Amino acid sequence: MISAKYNSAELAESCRAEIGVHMIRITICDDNRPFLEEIRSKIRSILSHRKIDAEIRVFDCAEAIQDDLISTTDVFFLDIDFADMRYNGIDIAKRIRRIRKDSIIVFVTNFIEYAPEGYEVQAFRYLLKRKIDSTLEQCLLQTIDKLQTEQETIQISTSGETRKFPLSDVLYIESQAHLAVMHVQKAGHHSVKTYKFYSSLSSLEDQLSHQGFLRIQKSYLVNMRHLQKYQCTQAILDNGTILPVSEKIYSEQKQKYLLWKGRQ
Amino acid sequence: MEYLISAFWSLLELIFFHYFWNAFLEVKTTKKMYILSFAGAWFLPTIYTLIGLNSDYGQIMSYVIISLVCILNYRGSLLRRLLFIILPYIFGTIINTALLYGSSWLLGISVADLIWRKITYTFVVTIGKLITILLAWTVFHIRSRKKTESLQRKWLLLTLSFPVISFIVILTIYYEFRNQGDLSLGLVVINILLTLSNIAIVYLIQLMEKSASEAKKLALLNQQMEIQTSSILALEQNYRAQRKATHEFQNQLQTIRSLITSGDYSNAQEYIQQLQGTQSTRIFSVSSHHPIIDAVLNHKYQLANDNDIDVRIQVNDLSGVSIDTNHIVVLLSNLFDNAIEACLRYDGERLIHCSILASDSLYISIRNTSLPVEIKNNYIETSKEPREEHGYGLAHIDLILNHLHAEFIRSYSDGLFEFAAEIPLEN
Repeated sequence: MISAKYNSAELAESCRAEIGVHMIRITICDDNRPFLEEIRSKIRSILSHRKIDAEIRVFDCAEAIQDDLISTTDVFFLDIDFADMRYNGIDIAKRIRRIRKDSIIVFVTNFIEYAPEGYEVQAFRYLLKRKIDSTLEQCLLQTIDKLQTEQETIQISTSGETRKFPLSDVLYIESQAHLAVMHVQKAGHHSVKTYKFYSSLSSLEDQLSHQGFLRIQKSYLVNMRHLQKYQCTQAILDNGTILPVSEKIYSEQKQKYLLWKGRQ
Repeated sequence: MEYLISAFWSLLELIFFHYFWNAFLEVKTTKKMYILSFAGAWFLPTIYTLIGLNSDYGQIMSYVIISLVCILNYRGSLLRRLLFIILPYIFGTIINTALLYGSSWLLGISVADLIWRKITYTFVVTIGKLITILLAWTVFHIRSRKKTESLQRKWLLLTLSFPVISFIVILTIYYEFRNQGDLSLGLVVINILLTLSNIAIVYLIQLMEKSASEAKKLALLNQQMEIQTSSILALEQNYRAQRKATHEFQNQLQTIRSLITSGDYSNAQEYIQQLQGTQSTRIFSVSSHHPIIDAVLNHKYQLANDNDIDVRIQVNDLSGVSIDTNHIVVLLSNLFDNAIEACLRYDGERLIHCSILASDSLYISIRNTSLPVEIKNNYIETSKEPREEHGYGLAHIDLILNHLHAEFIRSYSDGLFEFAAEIPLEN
């Protein structure tokens, strides 16, 4: 049931993006036992100094990491080269991605090699072991920032109830007459659900433009995380949805998209 | 009836301007805006005539409106646009004046008498305007479509002076004719000579622009050669380092073997631990499956690391990137060199983040810490002097990106300079 006509106060309530970080779950995997303990101790020290709750698990072999643990871990610190030649850090990362797409992966290694394999598993950072003292803290802080971004939500009033959705699950918001229609695809699912609520696309644009949303046309506000192709004739999302674009604002909006993409 | 004829002549003049400007300048507005502005330029002077405004004021208003139409609709420096506002006026005036005089001579009457013969005068002026349109149309079709300006400001300023002086002379002649009531052959000859001189000026500008364009291409080629030479030298250095590392590795293996053979296991272990502690940075840090891009990125990565710049690179499989090798080398080298240079001037944290991702298009992003830069029309004004000779790196980047039909953006805020581009890839 769609709620009655809104006023500006209700509008502020009906669609509010929230951020926040619960306790961080970290898993470290390295076959060098002394280094494993060293990095655990450093991470614990940095986080407790900043009063951030964290649960840290350490493993010296990948096989000991269960799927259940992977699904609940927020951040992984992985070595790349293991003595056991049956797998390496990239293989572990691929396994992680099969189970959880949004966790953050940091490779801790003796040699950094930037390669397509790292991009495919969406490696967030590479840290050199011999420079860990000088680089770990900054990396952790950036990781927390990234987690906060990934956990941002939008709250809307729809069908008589207030619901919250992770922003990363929102594909796009469409304007239909006086309604906003949000198209949501939960991570790992194929189906797209729509939710209608009262809001103007312009106010949503003001609210969400700093959270990776782009107005590609008068009636469409798109989540750039899901924008696969943006051309002057059409925009294509990663689930195959094709949306019309405004020729008038295309050049300016395309530039915003290009800059945003480089910041990810 | 006179107002209708006047409106018709205004329309013919605008068509003439349209072809003349499009022969030399590049349109920057939408089609709708273009048509609207020309419609305004036709409509407003017509209104002035209808309300009986003084013909001199009406003429001045007409000049101003036409100038604004050119400035609003066409790209280029103001000087260049000014030049191509004045030139058509000169040519148009000369052709009409010559035709008027020629007709009066053929008819055996004075120009003043010809003007009183309304039908004949209307016919002559209309033919004159149609001739100017035909000439402008011919120039429009003959000239190559390259309208990008390469001429430096100082040369444009010099060449502009002659048309301006010619324009003033022609106006003076016109007012002389009005005061004297007739046009002498001498004045007509002066007008024709001035026109021919201005045609020569236009031709000279073309030659100078072509020469400047050739000079830029040559500078680009020289830079390409320099970059390729430096890449080859870097590859050669890497190859030598790799050979040295391989040779040293053989010696180390031999040492470990000797220690193990002689049963000195504790020294062997100590030696191995020592070796692990002294491992240097791997020589090849980027592996995108595109050997040329890898060569450039590895070279620049080392250069940046040698200067204590923290570099992060993100690449996917670039083996399918089909862009011309020279273009990719010059583009990436210039982008990275600019980023390294900016970092070296920066007092704070020095970092460069680079993403090169291929799918249907090639996405390139370089973000680096930097002192503030001025970005105008998506272009950075070079800080090096003399400005005309520097800034070639930036100009080359834009030249290549435009050649590849790329969309790109430069931005600066809070100590961070960002460049991002998307280059379509041929399937």
